[in-house]
Amino acid sequence: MNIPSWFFSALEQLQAVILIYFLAVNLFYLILFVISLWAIIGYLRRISCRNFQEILKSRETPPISILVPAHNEAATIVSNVKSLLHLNYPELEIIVINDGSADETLQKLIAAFKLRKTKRVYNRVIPTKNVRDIYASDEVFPWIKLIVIDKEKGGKADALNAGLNTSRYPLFCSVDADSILERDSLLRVVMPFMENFQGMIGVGGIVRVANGCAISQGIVSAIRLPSRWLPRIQAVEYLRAFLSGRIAWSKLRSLLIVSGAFGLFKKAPVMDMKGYDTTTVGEDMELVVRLHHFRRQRGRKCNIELIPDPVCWTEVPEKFRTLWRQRNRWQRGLSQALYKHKTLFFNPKYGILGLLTAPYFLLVELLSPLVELLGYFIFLIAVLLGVIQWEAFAAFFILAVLMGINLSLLAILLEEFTLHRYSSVRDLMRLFGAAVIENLGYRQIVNLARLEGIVDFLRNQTAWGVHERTGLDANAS
Amino acid sequence: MDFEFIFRISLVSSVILLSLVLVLAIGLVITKFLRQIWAKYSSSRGTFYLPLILQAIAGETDAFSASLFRAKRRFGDWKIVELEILKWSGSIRGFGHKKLCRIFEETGFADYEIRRLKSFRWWIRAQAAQRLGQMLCSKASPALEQVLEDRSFEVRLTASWALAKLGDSKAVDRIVQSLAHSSKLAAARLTNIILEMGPQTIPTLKRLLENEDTEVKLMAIKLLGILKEKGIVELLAPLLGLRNIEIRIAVIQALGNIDDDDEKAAFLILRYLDDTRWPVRAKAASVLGRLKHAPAIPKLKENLKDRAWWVRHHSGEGLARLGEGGKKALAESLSSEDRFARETAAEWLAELEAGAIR
Repeated sequence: MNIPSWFFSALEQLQAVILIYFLAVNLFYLILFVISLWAIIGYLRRISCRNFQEILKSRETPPISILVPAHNEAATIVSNVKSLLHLNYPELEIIVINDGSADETLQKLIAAFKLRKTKRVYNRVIPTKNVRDIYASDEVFPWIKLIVIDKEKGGKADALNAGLNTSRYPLFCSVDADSILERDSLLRVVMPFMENFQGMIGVGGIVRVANGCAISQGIVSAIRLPSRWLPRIQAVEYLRAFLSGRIAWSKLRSLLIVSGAFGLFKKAPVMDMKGYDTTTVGEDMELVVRLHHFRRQRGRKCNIELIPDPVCWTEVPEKFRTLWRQRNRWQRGLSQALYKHKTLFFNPKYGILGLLTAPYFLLVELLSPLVELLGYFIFLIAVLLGVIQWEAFAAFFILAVLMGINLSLLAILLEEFTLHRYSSVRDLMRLFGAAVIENLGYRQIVNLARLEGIVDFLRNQTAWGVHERTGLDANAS
Repeated sequence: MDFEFIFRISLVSSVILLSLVLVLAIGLVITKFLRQIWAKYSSSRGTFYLPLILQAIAGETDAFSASLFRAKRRFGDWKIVELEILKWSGSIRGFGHKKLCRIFEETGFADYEIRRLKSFRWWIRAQAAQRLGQMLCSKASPALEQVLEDRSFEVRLTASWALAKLGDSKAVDRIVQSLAHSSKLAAARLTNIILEMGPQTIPTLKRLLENEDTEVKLMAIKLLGILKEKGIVELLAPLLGLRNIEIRIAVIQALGNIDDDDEKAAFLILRYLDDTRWPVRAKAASVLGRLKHAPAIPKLKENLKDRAWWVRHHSGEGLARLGEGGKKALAESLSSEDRFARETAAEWLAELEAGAIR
């Protein structure tokens, strides 16, 4: 076979580009890590001056509406709502939105909380699918109202919008039906609102992996690492994403994502923008990007923060198949959100957000799986064609793996240095182990799923991946 | 570009980084061990000192300061004893607490904390102020007043709380003015301070109603409402004419707290069921329902047809709270020509039937 010489030089150039990309991304991660460390230490000092009892007793503490969208959650919904009833907060309203479940979600709720059908008039400020009935319970605590909305299926964003229409308080908190909140989580996330109510729009907290933890009565009673490798690796992934990524972005005032599993927002600005976007699969990220985009466009303040306190525990997939679908969906959501707000990129009008954060999300978060897999592919081709030695390929692989391990280790160190939630040294060792294993196979496979997500976005698919739940109470012991 | 060169450099740098991270990791594992050992040690020393502290509280020995550290003082005892005293002061009240505070002063912890108020690290200053307030160290008053002007917001906040704890009413004016702008957190603390100090703050707050600053004014309105001061109806009435909607809402809310027999406050609020802005109408409806002000029934019934959903909602709720008269008005609205009024009336009658309104 005759291969033209320009092909070889192009191959070489491409290799260099990929290498430089890798080095630049890793250097950037290191910078983010340093910013995070600084932010977390500052936060811990500030929080040491706070008194949660004071917030709990004060009349100034804004009441919160908790929105729980539920679709076919019959297995876990009752225990999840019960866990929300244990939250430590002065005034709450819990709104469960049954989004056209085909199973017994609604019946279980009615039986467990003695719900009664009300004649409440639905306030359709944001257009949603039809609401069939609104139920209320008089059986729970006096400071908590429980409302259940039964509506036709319209997806998670639509369900959240129906919840927004019904909520009566100035702040709302969206919670995934499968996540477990810490008892003080609301007191912690409301703190930035207490510090600056005018400018604050949204606050998120750190989401951790619940698999493996002992859970009794909807509360995490003992923090343990998952026993299986797949969720354990995800525990490291979550640490890295939240502790050394998002905290730094929050410090730079350009946090682009607040996890849908747990986020507290001011209601008025979200209502102004007609709530969640029902056309995307990543409605949580899209909302945050839209808030930044439109508010800043009009010259308004838009503070969206992430507090480094672990506030929410979530069940992660234990099977590769569900993990694959989840990552595919995340990547599709990311693509959709970035595409919809493409005018942000490299736009000096938006400051750091336009010049650094948005490009970072495009070039690193979105395209890194493509570049990494392309890297392996190109190097492999180059080896096969004899352009480089196979040792060079091995070196590239080792480089990629080492850098990955470094970043994960740094995130674990950050957690151990600041929050130290995992109590035993053995857990720490296991986390180190997971950080190593993660880079030998797991990361590459997840990257494939993410790549598929980008391809699916380009082919314009919006179907949701279905997350099979094992039910967290199964872990109770 | 020398490809091999970039390669070697990046590989070497990541190996160096990895070894650095590993060293860090080992260091952290060691500190984790040390932390665990320290926790064990301090709890055992704590149990050693606990009887001594309790004895001193019970008054068995007055010369606590002398006896405390004579008993084989060891490394870290100062910190351990201080934390132990602070921990106990949270759960003891009355005489015991006073005694504990005296021990705190006599043992020298108070002077130590006053010195720490001058630290160049703000979190140390804030912590010191907090401890001095908690232990009611009146001798720290001048030092704390100085700290009220601190650079750091956290320190100012803690210092003002501590001063209020010490019952220093001179500080109120300054505290309100310096904290009103800051945040809800400051407002929350301020409310607690004012509640703790009670009616002695009313004259200052009344004076602050005339302040030019909207935030200060709002704060004063809220605080007077919380203190349920009856004499403020006349003072607040003119503020209802202001264009600022937040002030109107705050005044209505504050008036709603006042429990006057001649219902002067309620009659004042009644007029605002016709306000041009819907949030004010909704607030007025909700407050009048809570006050169970029967003369509001006709107007509330009218407001069931309001264009704003929240006004209809609160008017219905208000009527539902207004006993038989309100119930009758709701029942009449069931045959109203207005669809909104019919729906809202049906909703609240159902709530009444279910016993959800108390």
